[in-house]
Amino acid sequence: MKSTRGGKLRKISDSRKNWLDRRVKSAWLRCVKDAVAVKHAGKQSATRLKCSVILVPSSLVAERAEQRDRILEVVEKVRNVLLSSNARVKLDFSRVEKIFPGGMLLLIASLQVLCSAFPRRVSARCPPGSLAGQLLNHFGFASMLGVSPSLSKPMANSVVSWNFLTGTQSGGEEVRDLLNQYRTNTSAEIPQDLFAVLTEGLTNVRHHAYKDSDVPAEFQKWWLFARYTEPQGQQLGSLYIAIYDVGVGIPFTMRKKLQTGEVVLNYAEKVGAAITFTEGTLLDQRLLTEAVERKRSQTGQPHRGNGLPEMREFVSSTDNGRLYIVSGHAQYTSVRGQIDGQTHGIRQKFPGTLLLWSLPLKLKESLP
Amino acid sequence: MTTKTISLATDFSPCPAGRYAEDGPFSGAAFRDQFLLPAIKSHQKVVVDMDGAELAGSSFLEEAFGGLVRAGISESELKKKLDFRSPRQTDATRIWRYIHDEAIRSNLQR
Repeated sequence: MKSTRGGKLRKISDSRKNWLDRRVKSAWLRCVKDAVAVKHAGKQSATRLKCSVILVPSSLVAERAEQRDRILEVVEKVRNVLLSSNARVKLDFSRVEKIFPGGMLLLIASLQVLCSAFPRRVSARCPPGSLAGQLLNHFGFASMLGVSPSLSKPMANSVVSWNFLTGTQSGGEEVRDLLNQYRTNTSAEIPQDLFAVLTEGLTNVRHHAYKDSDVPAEFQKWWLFARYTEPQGQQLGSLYIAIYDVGVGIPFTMRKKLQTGEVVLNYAEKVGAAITFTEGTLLDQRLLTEAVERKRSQTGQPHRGNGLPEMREFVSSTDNGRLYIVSGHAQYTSVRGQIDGQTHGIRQKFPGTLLLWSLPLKLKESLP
Repeated sequence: MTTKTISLATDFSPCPAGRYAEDGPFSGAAFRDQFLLPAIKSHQKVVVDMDGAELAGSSFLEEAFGGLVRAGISESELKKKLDFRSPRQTDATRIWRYIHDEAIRSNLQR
């Protein structure tokens, strides 16, 4: 190579030439790197969002307050992330081991509402073939949460025996189809009154849950899960059914009736401090008990409000059936063999109302 | 004596549910208005056959039958005219309870 000085070409040394080549090459590489970085940064700022991973608890159970609170904490975390930033949320189901209808229903219903309000910002991570993944797929939530359908194909009997319904009306046809499925395809005796009890629960949601509620119209619905276990020989089968809504809750509804005089509590009973109409565990307990165990008065019953008492009567008429009702700051549990149940206060206010039935099933009597 | 038999399952629905029309297509109000009231007004005897239908919830039954009292039909008139046929013994008991409760309430409001 030759360089110019005073217009004349001069030959440069090989070492000088190599040095110049290295300089040119490193400058070229810097340019390319800068161009890639600019392009990448542009892409990131346009489409890449931060992703928060939230771990789903190992037990999805709603009957016990401690486990139920963990599910509610997950829902609250998801909501907070979605509301406070543009971040996405990935729910990690890898630790989930135990799934019951009430717990799964509570989580899925809440997620469905959040996913509708914040589309494409919530996804789920499920180990391939896991129970959680199969259930999400079985209920039709796989695509909503980005779970691969091929890796979560419902195969286990424990998954296929689950059923999921959602709607806004009394659901007569849907409930009948569900119960007929059990009546014709299983060997268990399905209680006769179950249709009445379930449709009454759905009707109650329609009439009471969303009155004076600020929940948007498209989310004013009910969700229902059912899980069946076949009886085998002497061992009883079981039917777990859960109904959930995200409405105002039974104590809230009853509090309004208290204010208008439609409901009167027996003030002669010891209730501790003077009853006020503000929120509180004690009052919620009393109101929930009143709603479920409403006794006849001498003036006669109002023509509405028989649904919850009849649910309680139904469970008390079954062998070892159980009823759980969680709403506001209270949980009602029916006691085996007794017409009256027990009501407990719960510290964390429960959003909406959850009804859970646990019904032991025996084999159908064989025809002569 | 003119007798009208209404089959809940085949004339109306095998899965009746809900109280009002907006609760669903086969509500208690719809059954009362479309079948019960016209039949009671035009026949001396009305038999409601509940065979083949699911046992309905209290909202349906109370609105359908307790609602007859609210529509102006007295309990005594219903006792003369209304009869039930059902494989479940409790159906009639429940329905008469709703009718009686509404009759008491209606009397107290007068």
